Amino acid sequence: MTSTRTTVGTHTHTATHLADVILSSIAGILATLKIDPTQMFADWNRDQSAIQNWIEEGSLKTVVLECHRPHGGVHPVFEFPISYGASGIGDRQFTTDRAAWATYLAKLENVPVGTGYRLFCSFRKEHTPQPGWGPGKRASVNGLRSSSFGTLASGPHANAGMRYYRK
Amino acid sequence: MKTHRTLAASPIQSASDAWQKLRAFVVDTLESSAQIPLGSVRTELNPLDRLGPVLVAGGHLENKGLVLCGNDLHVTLTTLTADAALDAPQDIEPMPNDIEVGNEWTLYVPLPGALDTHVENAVSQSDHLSVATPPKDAPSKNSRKSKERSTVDLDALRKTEEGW
Repeated sequence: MTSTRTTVGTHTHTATHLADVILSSIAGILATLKIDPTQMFADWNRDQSAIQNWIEEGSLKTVVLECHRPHGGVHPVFEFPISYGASGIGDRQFTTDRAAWATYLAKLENVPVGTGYRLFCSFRKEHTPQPGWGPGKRASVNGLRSSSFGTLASGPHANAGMRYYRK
Repeated sequence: MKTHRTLAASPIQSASDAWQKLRAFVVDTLESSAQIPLGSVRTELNPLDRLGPVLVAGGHLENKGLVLCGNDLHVTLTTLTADAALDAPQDIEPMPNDIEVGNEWTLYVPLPGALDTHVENAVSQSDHLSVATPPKDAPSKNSRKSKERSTVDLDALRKTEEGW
């Protein structure tokens, strides 16, 4: 016996889905940690478009959220790695587990008042320049403990995970 | 009139695009009313513009949704994401323009947990936005009039003035 599954989603659908989930997850992290997300909200359309385009062309490797403490130190750090290839869970093509994510957010450790943030993207191949994004250098995660949330969202052509680095 | 509209968000369209359609629905539905000046609704919704895509992308409009209430009007606007969005409408048409909503409209916005403070701050910038629990049904003209009736007995006041 064989079974088939029709994939209706295009690469654009997958990229749209993952970009929205990654950005909303970052918004949730900032709000939970009480880090001012005003600039992130202001840049939402530009950043969504950049991340979506990079996923669609297959160049995006990881989106990184760094929390910069007011008296030095960069932690926690959140990585959102993209895995390309056939994805989806069972018969579901586009997934996101909002309930598990909400539970995870509630367990995050607090950060001091005045903590800021920076967003980075790393790439697996040549990528198209996007407005508002330029070269940057990530802080090291050496010495931080890491744990994985697992798959945050998936589409037929790629999925996004989340890894949390803390002291 | 009580109704419910659902709109597909990601993967069908980005949260930003979905928010623009929700916004256009509210503007077009209300501004078709003769009592509401053109451009006024757009201005009242401005405080929500930066938060709108965040609410859609985070799935915060999937269960409770936005609720638009006016004279004889009660519209719940929800979005769907992931697989559930695949069969949902990609567009929403404004309500028929024979509805006379009146100038006393309110858009109720659900509180999304971690983002509560930001939603409350945005909503506080407009008299037409609220985070209160929306009414279950459309407020009718008659009920509003009776609710807003003055506690001053105008007839008695007139009689008093006539006696001066």
